[in-house]
Formats: sequence, structure tokens, C-alpha cells
Amino acid sequence: MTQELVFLAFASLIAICSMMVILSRNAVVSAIFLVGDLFCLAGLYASMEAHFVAAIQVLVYAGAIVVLFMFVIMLLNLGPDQRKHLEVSAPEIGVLGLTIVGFLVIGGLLLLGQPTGVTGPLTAEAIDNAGGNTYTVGMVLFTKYLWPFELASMLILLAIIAAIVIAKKEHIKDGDKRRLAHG
Amino acid sequence: MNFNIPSLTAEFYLTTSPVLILCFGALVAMLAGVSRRLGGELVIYSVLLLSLVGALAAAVAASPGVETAYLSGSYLAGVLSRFGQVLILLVSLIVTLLFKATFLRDRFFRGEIASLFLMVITGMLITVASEDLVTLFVGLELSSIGLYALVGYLNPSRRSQEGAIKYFVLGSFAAALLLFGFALLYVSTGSLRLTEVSQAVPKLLGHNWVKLGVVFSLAGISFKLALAPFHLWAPDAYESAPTGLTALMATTVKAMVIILAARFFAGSLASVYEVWLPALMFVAAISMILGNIMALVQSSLKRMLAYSSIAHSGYMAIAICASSANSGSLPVAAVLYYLVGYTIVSLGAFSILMWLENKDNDNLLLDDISGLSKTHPWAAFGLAVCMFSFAGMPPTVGFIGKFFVFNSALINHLTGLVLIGVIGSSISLFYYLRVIVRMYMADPIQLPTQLAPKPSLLVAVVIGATVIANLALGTVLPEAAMKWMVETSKEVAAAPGSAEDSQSVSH
Repeated sequence: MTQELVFLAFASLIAICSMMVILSRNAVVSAIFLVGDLFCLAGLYASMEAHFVAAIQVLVYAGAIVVLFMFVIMLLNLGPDQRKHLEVSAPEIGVLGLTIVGFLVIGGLLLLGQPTGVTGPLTAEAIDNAGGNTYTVGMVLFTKYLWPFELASMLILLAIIAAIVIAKKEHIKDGDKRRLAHG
Repeated sequence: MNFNIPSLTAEFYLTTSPVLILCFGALVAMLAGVSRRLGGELVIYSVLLLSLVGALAAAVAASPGVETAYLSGSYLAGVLSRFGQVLILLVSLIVTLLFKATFLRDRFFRGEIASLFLMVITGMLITVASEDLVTLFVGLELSSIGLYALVGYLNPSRRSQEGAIKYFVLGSFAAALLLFGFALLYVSTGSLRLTEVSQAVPKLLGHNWVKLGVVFSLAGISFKLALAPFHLWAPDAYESAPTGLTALMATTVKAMVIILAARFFAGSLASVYEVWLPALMFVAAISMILGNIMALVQSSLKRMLAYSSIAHSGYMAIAICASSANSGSLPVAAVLYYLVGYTIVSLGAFSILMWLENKDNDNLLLDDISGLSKTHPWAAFGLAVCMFSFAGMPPTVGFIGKFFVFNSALINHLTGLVLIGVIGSSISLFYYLRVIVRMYMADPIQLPTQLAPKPSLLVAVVIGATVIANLALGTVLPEAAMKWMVETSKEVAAAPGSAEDSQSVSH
């Protein structure tokens, strides 16, 4: 029962923080709520006794990635004029709220009291017996999930290259000039 | 607790070599692109060709005849995987060659773009050769994220960037749906492996979580296949992408997702078809109607082909629906046959468009090809054969493909879907034949810049090969090809053997 209460508390905090991330008009405020979001997610992991993942979540996401976000926001330095484009209107919020409430009602009706599935081999006791969270995560990553784990590094490299290709501005200017010359 | 340490033998490296070669090629292309001396067009071109040909040779040679799973299902080597990998690699090789003959050559053969291109292909190879949900997701994302960047930024313009942003936003949403579906399947069945999921699922029939997982996965897969009502990204992305990439998106992405869907629905979830069959039937029917009707009113050829590809995805989804009943591997074989036919025809059509385009007109309208038979008779002939085949007229592969698909659906009593499919095909006749009428019966109009200024032997060979393959698969080869497809598709339902000669470590 306690675990369920903890889950509900963190889950509703996550929902509220996520909403605030997209609804806030100031990008810095959005980033702060993102930190809160990621902290609550770490809390969820911890409540499921995945302490290692929880610690990594705080270190990597809340610590490193959001700091990068903040740097980018500060460098871009959005003025009040540009912020106007980011405002959301009342009807949009209404539609969003209605959709969420609708999903919750339908989901609640369908799924209340449903069995949530099976327990895998990696229970809390089994992990403790095997030598703790860190050891088990490492073992699973480098044995069973070795292939997707290594490919994820490829995915990150791809994302970096894609970001650089997108960020190169000169080519767009080239294209416009050419069009002007012919148009 | 025991952990099985996999022994990464030489055999493992050999079977995964297509993926490894492409990864290596992508790294080489990226590093060469940095250097001023090595980053030239010729070096990047040779790196691309070498890695694609090498991967193709490896995929043909290194695959075992019996389906074998490595690393607990993460990599699945076998006949179906080889089929998918060879198809994808062949198409990407042809697309690479074609880029050399277009005005985009100096943009495409750059280190970072070539590296993105190779990684996209890597992702596709991973996806067709896996039964592990995590690997499937990583592979799908590898191919999608690279494509988002390539669509908008290979030849940046406002139009292409708008298409890329739409593709990116809707694609991320679909990826989230797919991931949520996979996670729910994992929560309910306790396994990420499709074979184990398929064993666990029949016992969980009453569980709504499983149903929700299946439905979310269906939505994600339908999005990647551009099935209506998840198709909104397709016309914009297809129209705004450089035509070579449109060809890639229309053929290889479709091949990848169809093979994934066959493994997923016809293989693992066949026993719970009550859950997904109505949804998939609905999606297929809507796609066939909407795709064909929307294609009627398009004036851009690429946009018309995009809507027609939505309809063709619908036809392929019919065969996946038909695989729900206990009918052996016939429906999956039919969808593979249709897929090969569609790939050949699309490649032919898009390569002709790609050749006709130039710097000032990279989005041909229906008016632009008026009287093409007088100015470019062979291109007009090739395009006409492609249009006949898209429409499903005999003696082309399009007819035989539709015949096999509708046949497998009729055997499984999906008469309503077949009826909608036939009505859709007859609507499609109108807009496909309109292209032919424009090319052969209208007078050429004066364009500001001439289409296809210089002839290219390579383009002629590609177009000739697609026309010959098209007619051959439509007349003399169907029986032999279908036998081969049936052999290939047998693996979908069977559980793979394991190559785990691993040692156990207990702690």
C-alpha cells in the first residue's frame, strides 16, 4: 500500500511537471520543471528498488543534460517578442485537458483491477543475492542486451551527426540565393 | 542468479558482418569527410559503394540456411532476415548509384551525409534481423532519425524543412506509441523476446494490458507504414524529400516494416488475432479508400505517388490480416511477393523522375511531363510500364502481386476487404492512366528549363532492369518466385534455433 501511495505521489508530480514544461512561457522555467520531472522519475525508479538506475537518472539527466539545456537557452537568449510565439491559447489548454481526462476515464474503466502481468526473474531478492543493482545491471547490459546496447552508441552518434547537419546554416542561404537569381 | 556470458565466436561476427561492415563504412565516411584531402566526392562515393557492396556480399554469403538466434534473439540470422537485408541493400546501392547521375551529387557525396545514409541502412538491417523488442526499437529509431535529417537538410529549402519537421514531430509521437506498446507487452509477458511473448500471450487473453500493448504497437507500426489514419506525414515528407530519398523511403522503409509486421502479427501474435485483426482491417480499408481518393486530386507526381503508396500499404496490410487464421505461410509469402513487386516498380518510377528533374524543378507536376513520349520516348515508356504495374494491369508484377494478396485474403474469408481493395484499384486506374494519357496524347509544353538535359547510361540500365524485372515477374517467373517466397516465409511461424553455446557464471 505504501509503495502504491509513493507511486501515485511521484506519478502525479511527473504529470504536473510535464504539463508545466510545455505550458510555461519562459524557457528557463520550462527547463526547471524538466529537472523536477526527471527527479520524480528517479524517485519512481527508487521506489521500485532500482537504486542504481535512480542514481544514474539524477546524475546524467538532471545533472548533465538539463545543464546543457540551460546553456543553450541562455545562449539563445529569447526576448519577449519571440516568446509570444510560444504562448498557448485557452482553447488549446481546454482540448489538452479534456483529452487527458478522457484518456484517464477510459483507461480507468478498462484497466481498474486488471492483473498487471507477470514477475520476471529479476526480483528485488534475486538482485540482492546476485550482488546488488550495479552488478546486475552491468551483467545484463553486457550479456543479454549486448547487441542493442552497442547499437545505442551508434544511435547517439547518428543523432550527433544529424544535429550538426541540421545546425549548418550556410547551405540554406545558398539555396535562397540561387532561387533569387533565377526567380 | 546465473548470467549466461555469450561467447562471441567467429561465427557470430560472420553472421552479423553486414551490420558491422556498414557501421565501419559510416565511421570511415564521417572521418574522411573531416579531412580536406580525403573528403572529396570520389572518396566518399567509393566508401559508400564499397561498404554497400561488401555488406551485400556478406548478407548473401554469411547467412545460415536455418534460422538461428544470437544473443538471446537480439540478432536473428536466417532466410527471412537475408531476404530483407538483400532487398534493402540492393535498393540502397541503386539509389546511391542514381544520386551520382543527378544534380544533387555534390550535396549527397559528402562525409556527414554519406555517414547518415549508411547508418540509416544499418538501422534497417538491424530491424529486419531481430526478434528482441529493444533491438527492434533501436533499429527503427536508427533508420527514422537519420531520415528526418536527410529529408530536410540534404538539399535545404523552406519546403523540405517543413516536411522534415512534420515527419520528425509525428514520427517521434509514433515512436513513443510504439515504445509504450512494447513496454506494456513486456510488463504483461515478462519477456522482450517475440518467441517468448508468443508463448506467454495466449494465457493472458483476458488481460486488458496485453490488448492495450498490442493496439499501441499496431498504431506505431501503422504509422511507420504510412497507413491511414496515421499517414499525415507521408505526402509532405515524400514530396519535400529529394527524389532519391523518396525512393528509399517508399521501398526500403516499407520492406523493413512489413517484415517486422509479419514477424510481429503473423508470427508472435497470431494466436491472439481477435485483438488486432479488427483494428488492422479498419486501418487497411481506410488506407485503400483514402489513399486512392486523395491521389486523384494531386498535381505533383511525387505527392500522387505518396498517396498511392498509402493505398499500396493498405493492400499489403490485407495479406497481414489474412495471416491471422491458420492458413500456413501463404499470406506472408503473398505480402513478400507484393513487396518485391512494389519495390521494383517504385524504384523504376522514382528513378525516372529523379533523372528528369533538374536544379530548378525538383518536384515535377503532371503538366511538366505532357508529351514526354515525344521528347524522351524511353523514359515515357518506362514510366508507362510502372503506371500499368501500379494499377495492377496484366502482364505486370502489380497484377500478379494483387492476385496473390487478394487470393490469400479470399481463402481466409476476408471478402469485404477484398471488395474494398478491388474498388480502390479501379479508382486508382484513373490517376495512373491519366499520367500515361498526358505523356502520350498531349503536346509538349514549353518549360523554362529542359528536363533531363544529359543522357545517362546508368539511369538507362536501371530503368531497363526494372522494366524487365517487372514484366518477368508478371509473366514467366511468378510460380518460381512464389515458391521461393513460401520457403522464405516459413520462418515467420516457427521458433528459431539458438546458437547459445555460452558458459554460465553464477555469483
